[in-house]
Amino acid sequence: MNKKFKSMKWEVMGVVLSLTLIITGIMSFMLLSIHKKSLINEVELRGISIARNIANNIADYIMMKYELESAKILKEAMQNKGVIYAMVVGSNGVILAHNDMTRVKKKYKAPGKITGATPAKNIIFETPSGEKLIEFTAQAVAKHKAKTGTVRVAVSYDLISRALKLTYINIALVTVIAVILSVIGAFLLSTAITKPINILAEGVKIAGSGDLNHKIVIKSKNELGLLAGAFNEMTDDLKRAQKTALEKKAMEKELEIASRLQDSLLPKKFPDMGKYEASAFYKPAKEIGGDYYDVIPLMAGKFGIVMADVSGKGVPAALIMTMLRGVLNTEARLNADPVRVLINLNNGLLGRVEGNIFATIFYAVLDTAKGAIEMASAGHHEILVYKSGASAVESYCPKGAAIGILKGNDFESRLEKITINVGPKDKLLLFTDGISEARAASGARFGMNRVAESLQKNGGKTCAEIQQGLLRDIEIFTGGEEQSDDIAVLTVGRTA
Amino acid sequence: MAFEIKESTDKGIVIAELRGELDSSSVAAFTLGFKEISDKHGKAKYILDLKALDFISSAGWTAFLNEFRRLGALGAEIKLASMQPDAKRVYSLVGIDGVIKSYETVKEAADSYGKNG
Repeated sequence: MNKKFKSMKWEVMGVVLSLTLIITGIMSFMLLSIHKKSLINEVELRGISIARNIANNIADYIMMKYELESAKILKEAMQNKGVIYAMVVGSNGVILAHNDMTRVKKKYKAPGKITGATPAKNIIFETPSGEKLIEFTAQAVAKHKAKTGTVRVAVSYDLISRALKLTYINIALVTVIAVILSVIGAFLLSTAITKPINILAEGVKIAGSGDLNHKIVIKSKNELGLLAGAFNEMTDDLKRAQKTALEKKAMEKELEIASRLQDSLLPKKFPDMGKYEASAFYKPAKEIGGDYYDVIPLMAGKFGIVMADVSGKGVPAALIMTMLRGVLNTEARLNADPVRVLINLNNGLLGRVEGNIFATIFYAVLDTAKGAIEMASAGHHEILVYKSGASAVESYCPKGAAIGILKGNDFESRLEKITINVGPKDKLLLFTDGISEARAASGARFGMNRVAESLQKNGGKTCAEIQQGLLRDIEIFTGGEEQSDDIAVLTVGRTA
Repeated sequence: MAFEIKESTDKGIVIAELRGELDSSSVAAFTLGFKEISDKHGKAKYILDLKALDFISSAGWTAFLNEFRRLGALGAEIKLASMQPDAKRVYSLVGIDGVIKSYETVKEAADSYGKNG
């Protein structure tokens, strides 16, 4: 992970802590200023009330110069908390009465330098010893409204400071508790946020390293739980996609193997057949089927002619085609009768063909010396013959059943052999159903009749030309539509 | 025409009506569709009604043989009905008539089940 990485945890804690400090700071300031005001207010009320009280009670005694009574009233006033001194000053500035009797008849002097005034305009002094006090005054008015002097009472300002100090300590305590609680809260909150994020990050790292089976477990039902759910879904989707991609790759590989197998089965050139020639064309569809054709040289100027179509696709079909080719080549050389070859082929393959793949095979033996063909078919559709003499197309479809469906007598009893003569320039057209079932965009199929028409049109030409003509006709018919099945054509013709 | 498979039952016989063309491109649709039907009914008597099935390629016939053998192993039976002429030609040419029975109409196929139990 990046060295500069800074956990969100610290950021969250920082923000919460700052907010707590700001809020408690503002609240402390407001609280203190309110408290201070109310304290001053209280002290002021008390001071004023003491001064007035003295003024009311003392005026007559001053008037009558009852010093002892006056001193008694002042002493009583001194019982109030925080009172520093209490005196009555005459209009000439001489102290008429004082709680400290020694000060009587002395000139009144301000207790220190003025440092300010209270909201009610009472003056705050600072004494030379550093003590702060508030002096309250009241006019002592005797009976008949005779002014006898000014009452001056000093109350300690430090009373307020001490009360405020206590408040400061309380507020500081509350602030510390609030900070501690907010730090704990922020830690828990940020852990609650960062823990699932860390689990997510770890999960992403694991999934990124290729383990798509890893599941992120976040129990909370909030956005992070939602994100974890989405992430798990994503890895599932990725897993599926990966599986599909692998399967596709495996299938492509299989198709490639099948394609190579099939290609290796098909003859690249045909044996020399004297007055006869052969030509073939093969075009596999996207999905490899199992078309196979061959011309097998037999004894005494005879040739086995094969056109086969395995119903399955892919490697299984190609493998069956390999087996079929092997057995067919052996049986063809051992048996002159095409029906017997197909029976042996069915018996040989039936036990070995797994599943439900079947193969249709047209097999004929061409006797070049006699100019005759003996043909048999294992479920393959008709072949077409162009009779040069009559310029006519004939269709032959010996009865039978596909290889791999029926057993023993059920198969044998169905087989039929047809023998025809091959005249000069006659042509045999063998093909698989990829030709007759070629499909146009409209959905129409090329059909057997169109194959026959094509052969009728080109029958007089060479085998290669007949094929080219047929393929061209199919292309025009289908309009270039993609073929869905393999196309295989084998043309065998007599040249003279 | 696209391939379709539709299911109905008549007196305990499951009839799957196939429509359109059954070739290598639609054979998967048939296999999946028929599997769904056969999973539901299990060991039963089935008829594939092919009246509206315009084309069956060798892949389609292979699929029929597959289903016939798969359900046969479970003790179920499949019969074909109302095949179109082209299909009927291939049906007997390839020898599938030696494996799966076919009838002119769905009714005949259903009746044949009645006779044989």
